Amino acid sequence: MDPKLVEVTQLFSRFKAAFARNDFDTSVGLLSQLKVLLTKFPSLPPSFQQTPNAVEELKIARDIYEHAVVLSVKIEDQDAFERDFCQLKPYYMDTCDIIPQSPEEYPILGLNLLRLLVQNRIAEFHTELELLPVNALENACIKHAVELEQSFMEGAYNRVLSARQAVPHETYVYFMDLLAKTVRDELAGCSEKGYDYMSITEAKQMLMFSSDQELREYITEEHPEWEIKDGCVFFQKAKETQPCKEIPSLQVINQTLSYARELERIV
Amino acid sequence: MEAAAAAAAAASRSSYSYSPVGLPGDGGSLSRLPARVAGAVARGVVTFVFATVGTILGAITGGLIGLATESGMVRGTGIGAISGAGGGHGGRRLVRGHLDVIWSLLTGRLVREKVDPAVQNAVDSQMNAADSPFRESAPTLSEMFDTGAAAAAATGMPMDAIAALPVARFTHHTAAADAHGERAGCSVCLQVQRKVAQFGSDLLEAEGRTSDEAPIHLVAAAAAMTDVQMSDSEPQTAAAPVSAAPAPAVLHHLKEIASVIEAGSLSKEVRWISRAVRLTVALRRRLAARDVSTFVAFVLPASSDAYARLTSLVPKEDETEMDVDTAAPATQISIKHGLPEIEIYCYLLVMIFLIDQKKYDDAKACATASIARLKNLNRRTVDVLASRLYFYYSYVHELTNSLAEIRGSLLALHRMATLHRDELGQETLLNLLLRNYLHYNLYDQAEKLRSKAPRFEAHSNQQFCRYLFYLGKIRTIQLEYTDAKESLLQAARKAPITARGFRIQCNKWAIIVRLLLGEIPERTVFMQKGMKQALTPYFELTNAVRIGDLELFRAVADKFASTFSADRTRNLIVRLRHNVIRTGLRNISISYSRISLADIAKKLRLDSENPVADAESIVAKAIRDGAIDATIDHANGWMVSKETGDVYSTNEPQIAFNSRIAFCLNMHNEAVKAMRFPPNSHKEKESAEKRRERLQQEEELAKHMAEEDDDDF
Repeated sequence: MDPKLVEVTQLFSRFKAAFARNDFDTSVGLLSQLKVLLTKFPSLPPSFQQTPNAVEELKIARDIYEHAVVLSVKIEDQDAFERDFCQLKPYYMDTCDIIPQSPEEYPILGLNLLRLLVQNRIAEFHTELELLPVNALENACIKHAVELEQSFMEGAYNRVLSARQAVPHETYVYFMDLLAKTVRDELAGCSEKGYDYMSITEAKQMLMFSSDQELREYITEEHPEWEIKDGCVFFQKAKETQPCKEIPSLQVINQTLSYARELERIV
Repeated sequence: MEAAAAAAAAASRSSYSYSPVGLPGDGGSLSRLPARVAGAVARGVVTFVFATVGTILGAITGGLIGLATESGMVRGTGIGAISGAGGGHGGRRLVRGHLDVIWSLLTGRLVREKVDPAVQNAVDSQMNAADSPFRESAPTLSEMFDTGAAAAAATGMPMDAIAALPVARFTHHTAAADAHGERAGCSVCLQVQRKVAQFGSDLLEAEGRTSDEAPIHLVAAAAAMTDVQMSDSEPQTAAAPVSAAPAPAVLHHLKEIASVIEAGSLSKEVRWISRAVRLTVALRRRLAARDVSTFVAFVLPASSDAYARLTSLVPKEDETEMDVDTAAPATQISIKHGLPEIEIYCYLLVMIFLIDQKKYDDAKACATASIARLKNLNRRTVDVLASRLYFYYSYVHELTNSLAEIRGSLLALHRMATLHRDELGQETLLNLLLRNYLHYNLYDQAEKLRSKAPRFEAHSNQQFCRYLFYLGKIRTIQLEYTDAKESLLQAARKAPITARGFRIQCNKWAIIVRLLLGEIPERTVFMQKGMKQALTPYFELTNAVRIGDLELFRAVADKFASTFSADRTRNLIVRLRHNVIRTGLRNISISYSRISLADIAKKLRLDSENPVADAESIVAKAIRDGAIDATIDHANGWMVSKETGDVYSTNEPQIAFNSRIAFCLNMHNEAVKAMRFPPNSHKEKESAEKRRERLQQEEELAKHMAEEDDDDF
């Protein structure tokens, strides 16, 4: 076997060992070394040359990047996740006929979708979704992410929160926690508009706090305009007076000026 | 002027009064002779003086009037001089005549005889413009270069080509209503056939022509007919049975087209090449292998490898037919030498032929060869042909499902086109690349390319429509629905009527985008002619969204799942679920002043484990987004709708009006920008003299205006 390939394989096994015992620092170091070694292989994207060892090299490179992605989730580094995923994507897209499909492909794709959802990059979420073949939507991981996005859009946040219990893969837990935080903010915003007041217990339940104290801290931090009076949270200080309809004069002036200008142009 | 006239009149009167006495008369006293002679001389001198003065004054007056009436200063001067001089002589009877003459001089009647040349020019130009709407400008240049046969082509389509165009036959049968309940009519001038006998004269009358001239709109029909090369466009369907007039050989047409191309390349006018392409497209359906191979043999020098390649691709049919061709009277259209345009044109012809014959592999080989050949050429006249070739290159790869292979070469070609400043090529290639990316759902990359590629004024309407369509698709996927709707609707509007498949696609996407935006497209959109059947799934979908019924929505989505997958709109339909819920919620909130959350959940048919909690959060989000106006009472578990105020007391009407006004004004501006005037049509008939006069008049006018300005000071 190719000496370079041998070296890479050995290093990779060391990396896997470190990863298994959650030794993140060593893992990160080994990973960087592995990436440097990978640049020596011409058969990898973007050049995709046909060397005799191409299949082996591609397989091992893909494996390395998949582990890198999972590692970045473990160390909670979203930027690293994005970088590694970008490098992993060509392996999924363009190597379909060279190497067999990886078992980790769908979980990782689902993970990426989840990440985009958490970061509120919905446009990219949908663009990524378009790239998936139709049968991919049947897969549990992908389906989970898609349904999550739907519930999020509709506003059925309790479904989002309950989905946290049913993660298809343990790597999803990190993102689900992040999602929970986003959901809480959304809920607070919705409650503000939708309710006049709410009892403390209900608020606590809805916003998923375990104690009153946490709730109070949250309110003082994020929503100082809410009032807490005799066991109830009042969302609006005073009923806002029926907005005295002031004419948006600047807008009207602009519009009228543009009409006049255009009409003058009609000869 | 009056003073001069008076002086002249006085002179004449005085000379008159003097004249009868001036005759050296009866024999009288000798002693008075010198006095008489002196008197006569004096009278003669005075008369002479007055005559001179009269002449001069008349001349000046006549000249000025001649100037003012633009009919020639010299002439006016002459008339004035003669008339003025005549005022110095003559008898009593002639005084009135002279006064008359002088008066008419002053009023310019004598001198002003014909219409202003400027007015005449204007009238001429209008008549010329009406006469020849399709006349190409600058015939003089091409006439200098053309050979005899091509000169005939320069004045319009050759009669044979016109005769070869499809002819619609209108009979009593077609006078009755056809399947759609509409009468047959000419598809170009839209004359509806009322009576058979009348129809011909109606047509010609509408065109303002006599019956000898060929109706020009037949030419336009050929141009409009197949200019659109949308890959999924349907062939134009004529309302009446089409009967082709017996046409001369296809080969003859091909030779004529070749001569047109030659003319174009020699005169460096791209117009001719475009016309050649249009003529080819008109011939497309009648091409046979024999014609193509003979044409190629005729046109290309036998030694070039283009010839070798092309003849190997085109199948040879039985050779016996060749004799008939050569026997036919060949108007000697001589091709001078192997012009590159002719070569590229041959490639194009062979490509079209092979694609029509469904020989896709051969077509692929031909395409690759032509692209390789094109890389060496850099002539503007080839651009039109090149862009067609690029299109067919991409098309044949799409038909054989190998689009991904050519992505690299398309990118390289685009780069080359940009360097050559070949704008039509850039446009075409950009569209082909976008199509390539969108075929594989690579929206991200498509958007990256589109945002970075240089943009300019669209050269071709069809390319612009395609661009708008692809842009609309990209924007839809990226959740920018307003931009998407604008692009898609514009593409549907600008597309030619014959491109039905394209318009159907645009409309499908436009419908979905409008649904996603929350507005319901009106029924007429679905009832458009020819699109009704294709749009049926979308119609039912719209219905489900409008009612706000999730069950119905789910049923429709499942029923037409295959259609939606084929249109690649399935993911978008999934996004619509949210809209369905919103609409349902809105309906509920309007109809109930207070309703329990459990009931809401039941009405919306949300199937989930915990419908009440779901409903609650959904309602809360809807309230926050402003879709409904209500409050939730958590303790009692119901939703209370607020009173809907009078919308006219808000800013809503103003905003709606503003958008409509902006749209109308925008359309007006675009229409003004799009106006075209026939180029140079009034300059043709101007002779040298007229031009001189006109220039003179302009100078005088300028001087006059300059003087006026000075006066104003």
